[in-house]
Amino acid sequence: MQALGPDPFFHALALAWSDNILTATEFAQLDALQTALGLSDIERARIESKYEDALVAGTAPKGESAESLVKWIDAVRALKNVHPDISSGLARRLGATALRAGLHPCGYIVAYDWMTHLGLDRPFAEGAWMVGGAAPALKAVPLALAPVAHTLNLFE
Amino acid sequence: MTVPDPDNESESSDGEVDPFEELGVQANPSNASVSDGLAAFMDDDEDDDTESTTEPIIESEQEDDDDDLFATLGVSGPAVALTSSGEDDILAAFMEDEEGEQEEERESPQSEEATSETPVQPEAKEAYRMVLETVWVDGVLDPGEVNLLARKRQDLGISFEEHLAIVRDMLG
Repeated sequence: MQALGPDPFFHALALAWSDNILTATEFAQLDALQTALGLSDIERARIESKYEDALVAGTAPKGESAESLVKWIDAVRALKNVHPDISSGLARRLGATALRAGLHPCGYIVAYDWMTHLGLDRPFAEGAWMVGGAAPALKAVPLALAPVAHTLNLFE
Repeated sequence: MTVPDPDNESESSDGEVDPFEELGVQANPSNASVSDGLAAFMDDDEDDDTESTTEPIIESEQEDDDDDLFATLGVSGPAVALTSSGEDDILAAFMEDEEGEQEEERESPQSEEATSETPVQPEAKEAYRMVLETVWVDGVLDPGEVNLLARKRQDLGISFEEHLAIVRDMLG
């Protein structure tokens, strides 16, 4: 799954607008994602404004289907709700996996920002910079980390 | 709409209720190539027995413990397989080193914390930045270069936080 924006909420907006319609249900789903990500109303408004500007300009990315939004939000919420040791471990391994593939400046910084929005920037960076030793590689990632993995060129 | 009711989350966060059962998260990954979604996040052939000092990190546990931890994850929905880099793990050497130098590795973050108490000279930061720019000049960092940077940080008394700030400033 390709990252459709600079952060998970922007990505969700792109999925929600895949059919050019934002329904009340989707709006409520975005509320759930906002809560899961701990986004303030101001921050959400900023992201939405940015996406709406792109919509007006005709440059807004869009997802494949509206169902993808539900899967995406479920995946993010599951990652956010799991024990921090587990999500941190995943993030650390993702960083180490990226290092194995070779860290590219652009990919790294975009991925780092994404992980910041997920609250996993620190363990991700530790994995990428081998702080505390080299972490084992991942063979797969949960859906919530798939856009980051794509950014890091970890897919075929 | 399958997005769970947020009201249930407070109940799940106390550890008494499996959050993924409450969330109705599927236990089967969608990717057909992944027979066990939890195992999919693991590397079978590696793990170390390093015990975390300040943070309980899953890769520091035994393999079985890893399985348990990932089992707790409950395969959070679909999993996506990554590109396999082949049999050889280019970080294997660093992982083997870690076995013999666990204490040194453990001390590394602590020493970075300790050095952060004393102000780092601007010259040191500038020197580190130059090293960073030099090793990244080809557009890709490899494990050897990352290891070199870690040693350079230690030499210059630069903390990991300062390193991250320098990277951010450099790439930002």
